[in-house]
Amino acid sequence: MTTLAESQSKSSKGQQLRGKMLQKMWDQRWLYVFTIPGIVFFLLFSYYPMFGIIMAFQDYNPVKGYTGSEFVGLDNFNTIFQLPDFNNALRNTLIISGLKLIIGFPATILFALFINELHHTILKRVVQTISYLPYFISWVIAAGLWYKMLSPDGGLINEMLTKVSFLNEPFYFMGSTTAFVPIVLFTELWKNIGFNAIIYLAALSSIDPHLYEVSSIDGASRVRQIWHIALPGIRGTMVLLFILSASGLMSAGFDQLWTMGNLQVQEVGQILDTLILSYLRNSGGFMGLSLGATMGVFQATVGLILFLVCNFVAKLFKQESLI
Amino acid sequence: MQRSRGEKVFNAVNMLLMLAFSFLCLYPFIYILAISLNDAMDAQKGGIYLWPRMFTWNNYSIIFNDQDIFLAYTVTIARVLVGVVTQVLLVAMFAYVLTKKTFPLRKFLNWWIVIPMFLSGGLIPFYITLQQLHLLNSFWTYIIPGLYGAFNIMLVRTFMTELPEALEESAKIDGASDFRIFFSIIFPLSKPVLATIALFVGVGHWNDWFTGFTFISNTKLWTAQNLLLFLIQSNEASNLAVLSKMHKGTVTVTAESIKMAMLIVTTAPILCIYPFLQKYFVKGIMLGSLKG
Repeated sequence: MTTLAESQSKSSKGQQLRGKMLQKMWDQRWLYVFTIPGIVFFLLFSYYPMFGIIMAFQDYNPVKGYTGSEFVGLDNFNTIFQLPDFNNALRNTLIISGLKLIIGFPATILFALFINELHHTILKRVVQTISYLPYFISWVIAAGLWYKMLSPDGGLINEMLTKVSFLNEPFYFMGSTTAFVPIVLFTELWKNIGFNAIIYLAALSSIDPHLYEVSSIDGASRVRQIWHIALPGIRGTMVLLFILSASGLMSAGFDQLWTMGNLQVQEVGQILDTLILSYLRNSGGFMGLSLGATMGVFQATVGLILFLVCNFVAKLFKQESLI
Repeated sequence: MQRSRGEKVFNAVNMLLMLAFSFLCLYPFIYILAISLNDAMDAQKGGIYLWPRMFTWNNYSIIFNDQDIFLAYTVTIARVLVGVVTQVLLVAMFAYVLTKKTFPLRKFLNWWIVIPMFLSGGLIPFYITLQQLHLLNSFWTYIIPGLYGAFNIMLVRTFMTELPEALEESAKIDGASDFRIFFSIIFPLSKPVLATIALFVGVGHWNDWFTGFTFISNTKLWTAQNLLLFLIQSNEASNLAVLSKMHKGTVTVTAESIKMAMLIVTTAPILCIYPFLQKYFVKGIMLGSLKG
């Protein structure tokens, strides 16, 4: 049994503790004030929309909202898998982002190696500065530039090709289903290769210069130096970047495909992201909203799984390279 | 060191390749610039590659006299200014709190910003959220949903963690509150990283067309990028060309020439700040990659 005095001292201890906590909170009041807008922001614009995942399992009705709409189980998923548009977009997404990875990944490394081999400092700086430039314009501008360059009436490429008699008459590149995907790949490289190479250049610059000196005394050619010194030196970066970009397989470049795409090439240029946006814009009935959201959930789920798997593999590689 | 013949060939080939690639990166801009500065009817004949053949400012004067285009630029500039100032301030305050090891919410806040980087509801639920918050079709749609960037918070946090703690401690002994410490010590000292994110956020706002395209239907609130996209994807530029012909009578412009001038005018601000930007983003990426 506790005596009166003991219990009194306990409660006062409790009070003291609470007082201390309140005192600490008061001392840190500005820290709370600084973060409240951020907490509210992420709650409203990140966490609340996550509830929207529910739409994929509902026949969503905007009037009734998430709480009132009828649940339909996996019906929406069954529906989208039978839509030709969806299957087409899924295929295009995998093709375009797969090709971007297969071509863009080695091209970026090659570009970084070439820049790294430029020993003329001013030239190196000029090349770098110019190659970053397209990264900083929007895809709207990039699409406008290339639409004009490739235009069938008076575009530069057509003008040149007809001049050297390679073409008899101007060719509508942007409206051709065979030319569209190569153009997408080319403009993607044009816009991003310089910028993406920065990380490799950072890795290359941290390679010990003595290695190069020693090997050149031993008579190694530049190509051999690249093969035996530079490439192994950036192996860790290469593996990490490959794995991380492989996890982005479900997004093939929304901005690019929306700004460059057009009705003629929808068959090869429609990707999941652009399809979802067109569902939102033309969704007439409520049905479209649920289906579009379902496609989003499918895309995000596969993307998340890819990311987790890739991240796991990246960790394995990291450990190996540490040993 | 003596250079072998193979080495010389290697250097020459490499230099040529890199110069060719640089030319490819730069050339489309030069081409469009030359066409936009050329008389519209003359440009239709083709054959303009580097320099305008019949130099004129007409295409630009049409653009600068057009009400819609003027309005779109005003909206864009207002958006960039408000967007940059609010994000830099809010991100810096949030990041500052994340450096306080004694703050009980620190762990929670770190997770709070990291989870949304991997999970999201997708476009359509986001649209519905904006609708429910009455944020569709207002200027604030450009600002409020973009107030914070999780990646920027992390970048600023990393920088602030490396500031010497002694500065803060001595200010505390002198009786300064966290408010005071943040605004008179931490914020000014973080200028390099804040300038970096300010540039990135500014370029992001300038280049963004998606927000206006998806969440705003009132064309009076369009940004320059939205207007440009509209001109490129539709034949609206030809209406503009016809209109300006009716007003001016003799001035000849074509839909194409208006588009080209608009392209240049929308790119120009990026080209102007680009030299300042470059120094920062290379550093920023190096910093990020080393921490990665």
